[in-house]
Amino acid sequence: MRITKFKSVLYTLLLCIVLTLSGCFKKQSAGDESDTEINPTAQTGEAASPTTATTAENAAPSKVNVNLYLEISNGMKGFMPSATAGKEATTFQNNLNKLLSEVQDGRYVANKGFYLAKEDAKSRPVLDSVSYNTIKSYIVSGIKDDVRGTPLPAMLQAALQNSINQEAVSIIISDFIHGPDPRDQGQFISLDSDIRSSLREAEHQGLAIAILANTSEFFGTYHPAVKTPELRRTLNGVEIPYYIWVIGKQQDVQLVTNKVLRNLPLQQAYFGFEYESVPFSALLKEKAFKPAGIVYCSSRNADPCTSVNLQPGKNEPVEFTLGLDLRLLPASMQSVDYLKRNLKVTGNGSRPALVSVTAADESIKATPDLAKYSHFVRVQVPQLTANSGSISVQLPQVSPNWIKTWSTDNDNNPVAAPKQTYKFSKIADGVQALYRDQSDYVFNATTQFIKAD
Amino acid sequence: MIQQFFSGLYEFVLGRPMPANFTNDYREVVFPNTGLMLFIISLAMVLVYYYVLNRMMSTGLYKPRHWVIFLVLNAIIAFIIPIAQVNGNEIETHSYTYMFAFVNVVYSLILFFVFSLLLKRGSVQAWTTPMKWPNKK
Repeated sequence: MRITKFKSVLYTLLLCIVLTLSGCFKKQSAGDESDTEINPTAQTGEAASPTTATTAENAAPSKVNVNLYLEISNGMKGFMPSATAGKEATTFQNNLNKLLSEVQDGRYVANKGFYLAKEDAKSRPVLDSVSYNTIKSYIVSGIKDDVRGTPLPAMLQAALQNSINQEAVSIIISDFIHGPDPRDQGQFISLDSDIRSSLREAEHQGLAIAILANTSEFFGTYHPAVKTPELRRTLNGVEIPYYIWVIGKQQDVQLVTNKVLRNLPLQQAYFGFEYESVPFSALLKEKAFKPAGIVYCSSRNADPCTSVNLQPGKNEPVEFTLGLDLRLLPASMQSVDYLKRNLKVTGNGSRPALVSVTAADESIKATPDLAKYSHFVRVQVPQLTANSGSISVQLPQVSPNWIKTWSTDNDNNPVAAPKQTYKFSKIADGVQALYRDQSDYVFNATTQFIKAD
Repeated sequence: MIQQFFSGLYEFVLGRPMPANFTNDYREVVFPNTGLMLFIISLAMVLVYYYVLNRMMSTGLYKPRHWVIFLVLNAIIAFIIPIAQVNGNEIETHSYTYMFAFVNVVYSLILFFVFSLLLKRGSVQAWTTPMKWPNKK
């Protein structure tokens, strides 16, 4: 009798415990929900500004107007030898054909204009508006006109002004061998400032410039800028540089380089490119990027996490990974090698150092939380010098190395010194000078930190 | 406030949460939840033992060994809850997790004992369980 009573009491007791426990777990999940309900308001406040900023950059146009300018001085003839059966087309002819057809028939181009750039008898630039078929026949069967020189700054200015009036992106194709009036050789000295003056409208209008350099076999008469010892040389298949300049609004230039030009050469230079903000986050709970030392996100559920608490120990530096989405940057800036060479990590109140830069691999792309980031930067913080501050990952505006190697002070003998253009670095200096007063960084991703208690 | 109290209670013994990247999860969720449940469940167990079983129902479970059974039961619950909390919040398991569970068990023993001392005088059959002190009659 007593035992049965004991048993029944025990059962009711167990039941009670089970009920209390299950109640407890419900309570916990309810607590969780209220947490997540409270936090997002704070997060969205933080997240809102970068998102809106990026959408402005993100809002890449689906179509752009394009004006294509082909310089047709005598120096360009060698790139476009007239076609004969059994003779291979030059790289220039192949690439330009593709480009022309992409501009003419591609889905990313709205209004298009084709221009032949030359000079008149008084060395003034002339832009001849021509049809697609006309410009194509120039590419495939050669230049019939006799155009002596290329007044480079004046030509750039005329082309730019024309495109600005028509709200179009300029694509300018030339060998960029400056050929001023023979009576005015002093222009060589002031080439950088002349280029700057000619393009100042681009800077005023907030336009960016992409320079793409390639080489092509050259058949025919080569006119060097330096006229001694040879005034001209006949070349038979030597590689000579030619350049494609794209000038327009940053996102339009991006569209043209990525969707219209497509296969870009290795030599790329970008001027006036700037990103107000790139999406980024400190990745502290991802299994793929485990942090080291005492570091945690200041807000428990923040996504993206842009503020961290950390406390480096004497023998235990803090190390963590930042995920960045750099997919909107120009192609060459997205290469891991480029980023490794140029990315800077600076701190305010801390002494951070860059550990490594990696691009997203397939397994990361398959992870939903990580798929939105294209690059991962590991940062080490060995010590703090203040209780709060910031850690910035920055990409400085740098002039690419190839510009120096592609530039020469004497282009008289391209056989001995191939792939070089007369004073090209001076031309690039002029372009660089345009944007001198802009931000020093292509982008700047700043994480706030406070010392952990 | 409550968060800080419970974080302080556990971190006083355990040190800062490990792995450190889950510090906020421990401080904002796991510590307060576990601590609150520890208080509530311990109190409930004591109330059930002294007032339900040994006053309203008169079950005869007034011997010290019955009290010990409840003490152990409470300790087991106190061991399970922290681990469930850590797993439920998708926190990486670490030796810290089990140290935390162990510390919670110790706290549960202390709390159960303290609540017993405070509340046993209201019981009819078990007012001397586990011992007579401090009640006098």
